[in-house]
Amino acid sequence: MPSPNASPALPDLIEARVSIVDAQRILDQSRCHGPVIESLSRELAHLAGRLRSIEETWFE
Amino acid sequence: MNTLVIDPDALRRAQHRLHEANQHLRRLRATPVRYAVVGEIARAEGMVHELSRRIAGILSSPLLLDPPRRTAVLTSTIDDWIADRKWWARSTTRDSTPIDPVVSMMAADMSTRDALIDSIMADGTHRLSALLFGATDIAKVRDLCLRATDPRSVNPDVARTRIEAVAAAVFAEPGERATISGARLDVAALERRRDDLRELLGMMAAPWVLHFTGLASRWGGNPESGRDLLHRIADHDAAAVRVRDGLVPAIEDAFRDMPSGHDERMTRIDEIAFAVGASTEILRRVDVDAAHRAASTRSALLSIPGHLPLGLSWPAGLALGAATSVVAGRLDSRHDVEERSARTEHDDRERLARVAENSARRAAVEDGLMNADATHVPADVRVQIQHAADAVSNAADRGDEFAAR
Repeated sequence: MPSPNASPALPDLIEARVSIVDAQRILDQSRCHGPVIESLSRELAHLAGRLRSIEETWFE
Repeated sequence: MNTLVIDPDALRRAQHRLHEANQHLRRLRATPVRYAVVGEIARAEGMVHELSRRIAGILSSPLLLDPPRRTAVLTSTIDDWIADRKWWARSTTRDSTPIDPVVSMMAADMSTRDALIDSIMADGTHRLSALLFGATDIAKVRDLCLRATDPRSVNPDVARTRIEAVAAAVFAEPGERATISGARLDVAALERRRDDLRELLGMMAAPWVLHFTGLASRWGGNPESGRDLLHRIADHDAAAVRVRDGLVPAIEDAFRDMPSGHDERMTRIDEIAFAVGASTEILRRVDVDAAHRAASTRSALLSIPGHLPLGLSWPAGLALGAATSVVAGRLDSRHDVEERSARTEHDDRERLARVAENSARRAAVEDGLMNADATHVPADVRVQIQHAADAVSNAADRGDEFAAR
């Protein structure tokens, strides 16, 4: 029986993280500027970091 | 610089990517995953949703409108809020009001702030009162007002107009507010807001304290009305502390921008000394005035038993009168306050004279009139430095008379 973690779910997790990293890149490379945008960018980076740490513990 | 630039296309693309991330996370939650990560994924999904909501908020924000329409939309938000006379009371009881996003937008973008402040101020105190008393977060109001009058980025004439407008709105509040509106008023919250705003006025005035009197011409003001306004602003304990704390940096700043000729420099030193004299005297007088007000309130309270129909005999009535007089005399601190504030004023002036002397020396070095190591000090520069110390320490008498008028 396959482990619930060796799953078709992992690509979704990776795709979610890639989408978030891409959203952050779009903001950082755009003309958008100011405290509100900087705070959004920081939080996107934080969220991508959290998803990365879930990925790293996926097979533990 | 506090400016917000928005690229709507980029925001829409970022929002689209977040939407895709959300779909992946939702699919992920629907598959059997390890129990330990279920919570983490749900939290991530919540964060994506929140970030997406914030981007949607920016995309629908008045900040994306052209400046005149943006100002019109924000002004109409304020007008809608104050159209109902219950707004004064509701601002004291609600967790948030429609004024909160207006203040946030003004704080986020300097051009929005300047356009709206100037348009609001041109129209009396009512809308400005809505910003000051209607926003629930005083920290945001404080930040907005201090940035709008910051000497490092704001023209002196503009700062004066803004300080005067905020002061007018704060002082007009008891008269403008509907006494009975039908909504519940949190009296303690209103008192707190009044105190916070009075202290804020002191903070706004502090960097400009010398401009109210001696340096009034440098911000297009009138020394007499500046003196009266400074007196009114400083007539609050926390505000007075802020104003007093502002004296040293204000003197240092005033010496940073000295004219080049000797006579002009001496005249400027006189103006600074005059302003220091008037400001310290105003601070002394508000202290003494407060003690007088407290003493007269106490006397009025203690005289109440004498007016009551207590049916006391003549000797007992006399004894009661004598006793209340003794208590009033014991509680009367006017003399102590007068002595203490005169001493504080004297100490302040001695301390400020040293600051003026050092600032004059530094200005001479920075303007290339003498060497930093003071090996050669030209005679006229020596006179300027000495005059700075003497003028603040002694010639402040001129400021005294002016402040007393």
